[in-house]
Amino acid sequence: MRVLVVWAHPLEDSFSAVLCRTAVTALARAGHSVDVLDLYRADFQPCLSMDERRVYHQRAPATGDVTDLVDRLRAAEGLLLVYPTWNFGPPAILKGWFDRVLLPGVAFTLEGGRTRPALDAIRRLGVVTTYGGKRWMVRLLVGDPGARLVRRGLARLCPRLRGCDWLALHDMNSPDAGRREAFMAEVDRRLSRW
Amino acid sequence: MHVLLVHAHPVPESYNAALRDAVRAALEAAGHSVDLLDLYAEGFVPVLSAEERRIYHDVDDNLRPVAREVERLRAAEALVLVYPTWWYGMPAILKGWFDRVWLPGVAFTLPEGGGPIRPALTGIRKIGVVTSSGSPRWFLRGYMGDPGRRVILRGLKPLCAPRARSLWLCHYSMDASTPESRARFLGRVDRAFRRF
Repeated sequence: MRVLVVWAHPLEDSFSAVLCRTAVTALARAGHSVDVLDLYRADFQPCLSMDERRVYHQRAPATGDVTDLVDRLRAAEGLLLVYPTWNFGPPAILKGWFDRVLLPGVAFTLEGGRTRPALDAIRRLGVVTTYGGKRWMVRLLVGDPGARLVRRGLARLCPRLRGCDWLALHDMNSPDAGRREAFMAEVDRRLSRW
Repeated sequence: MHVLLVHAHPVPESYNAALRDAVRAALEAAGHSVDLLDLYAEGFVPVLSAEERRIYHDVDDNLRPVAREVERLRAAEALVLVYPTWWYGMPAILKGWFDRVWLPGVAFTLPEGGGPIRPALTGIRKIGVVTSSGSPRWFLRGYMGDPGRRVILRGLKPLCAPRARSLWLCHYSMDASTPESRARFLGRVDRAFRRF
């Protein structure tokens, strides 16, 4: 399976970088071909521009750097997002990947006011993320908006989806090396089964 | 009140820009002072950089890259956000404003030795949001659970004054909107912000 890994963290010596490498290694070991989109090192610009907004609904072919990113998404049979949860959602650079790359005609189509899924090739979807806050706070108080975006919003656009792996480590504000190790092992185990 | 009005839409003649103008006019008519932060027009860069990430927890040092934006946020007694809902939440440029400007020591403090974060924007007594969504209300609120609304009202509002009030106005079903529905919503926005 071809897996697109989209990674969003500014530091290559971060725990997020370790998680990304763990995931890529597990996927490669399982025999998949892995395409890593490192949004920061690719210097991805996350702001949907004025010109892009004007032609958003016109099914015009994507232009500039978005063309390549659309091709890489279309080629993917598995999609894995690796990012730290900031302010209850993906970092701006990853939110901008949704805004600019998951376009009408690419991720979905609008027919008579209804949204139809268009990510036909994607069979596996996953997220590896970390939270500063505790699980109960994120889930009960705030209702985990970041998880809703992917598990409800993105997953419904993948009609052939066989499963969504949501891998999250909470309470990063209270450091504990043991929990990090355990989480890395879980990421390795779950992605080995893709 | 002194209101920080944050706007996030790339197209100057968009309906969203009309909403921004309506909010501003209504607030000024009601006697409030308005500081308009137009993120696209000001060329705001929403990406938290490697350097910013390294100093993220160094209170006071961490705000230097965004000192002007922090000053404007700290001066605000009310915050109003006007943006289109894209992918169930705020556009990247606005998400990045929170990522880069709502810093430790600015928006919240992390107590020594752990424990829940404490609010630091206690000068903000009211939050208003004006947005639009392509999806109908039943879908965005009912099925999706409105992630964008949760982030702001449940996640970020607790960083403001203890009993900060909120106002949430959304034109749902923009994909099926009509000139009448848009004019009606503009009227609703005007009335609401005259009483803000």
